[in-house]
Amino acid sequence: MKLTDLIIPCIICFCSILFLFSKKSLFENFISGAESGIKTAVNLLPSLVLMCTAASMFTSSGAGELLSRILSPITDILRIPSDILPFLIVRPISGSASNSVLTDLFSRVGSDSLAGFTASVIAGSSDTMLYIFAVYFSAVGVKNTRYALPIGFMSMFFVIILSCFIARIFI
Amino acid sequence: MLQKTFGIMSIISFISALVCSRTDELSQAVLNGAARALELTFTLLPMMCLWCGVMNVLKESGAIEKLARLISPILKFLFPTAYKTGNGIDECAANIAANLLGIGNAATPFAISALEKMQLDNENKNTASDDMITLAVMNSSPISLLPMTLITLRAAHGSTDAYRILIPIWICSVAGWVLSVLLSRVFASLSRTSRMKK
Repeated sequence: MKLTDLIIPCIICFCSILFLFSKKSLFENFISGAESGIKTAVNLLPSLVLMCTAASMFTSSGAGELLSRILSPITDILRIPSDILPFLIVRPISGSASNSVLTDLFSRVGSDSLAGFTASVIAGSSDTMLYIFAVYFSAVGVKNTRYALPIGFMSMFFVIILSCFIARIFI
Repeated sequence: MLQKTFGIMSIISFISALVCSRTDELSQAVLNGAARALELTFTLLPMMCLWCGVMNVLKESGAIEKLARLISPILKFLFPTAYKTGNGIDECAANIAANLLGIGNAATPFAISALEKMQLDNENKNTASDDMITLAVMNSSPISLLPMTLITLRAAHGSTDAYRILIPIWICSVAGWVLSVLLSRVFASLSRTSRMKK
């Protein structure tokens, strides 16, 4: 943990050393890079509004619970603990929502139970796929994402199945 | 594609709000969601600013070029077009490094500036190129070495051994990463051959 805390300061210090000893006007480079960063971040706002609204509607409408009730026969066959279904459904959509669902799961069944342990493994090995795709592709104005979503869902499904299997071994 | 995903999400939310009689929460959620977007922009903006600036400095100093040369076989396999033209390859190298070092807030700015450079070589600006998809897919299934937030959360909820998840996470995240990268390369070559037939 100590080591990872040092990484970011080290990068900044490296830049500062470059500022001090380089003959080029690197500070200008920093400013121009930072400016382009601001532009990108501001341009992202419209699509972020759409996405966050959809994600927030989805999590507060009870769609997670409803879908997990519908999907539970399938997940029983795949040997996915039924407690983690609401977590699986929000995981690709929103980081904050999946964290709160995970916290809820931990306080209900405990973080060392099979469901809690499996959900932890999935949380650590997957990411908010839909959110990332939306940010990345709308930042550069791409509308047709071709085969990106199918791959995203395939690998997420694979990670879920693998995590359920591995979690049973390591618990 | 994303447009449709959000359409489906909204419709499902509307129906389930009706079924679960949660319509009050739904209208509140619309307002909260929009406000949340601004919140996200506020956290994203300084990070984009800082890391894009740092990126520019490191690029000018030649440090990123050295890093890119170090992992060039991987970059050549993952991003053949960007590797050939040089547009965005340094940013990709920085993105991979940031992901491996576990600085997620730097990985996103690097990836977005890589995508901006990749747009220069993209023939159809509305459509994602193969390299862009590989980068996005790679970042949506990242290798995580030390997920501290998760470990802290587990410890806070009475886990006797919060670090126990580390080895399973290493196995699963590496496997997921490898699979998504391989799939994106397979899909890329499939789409290339189908285009050639036409």
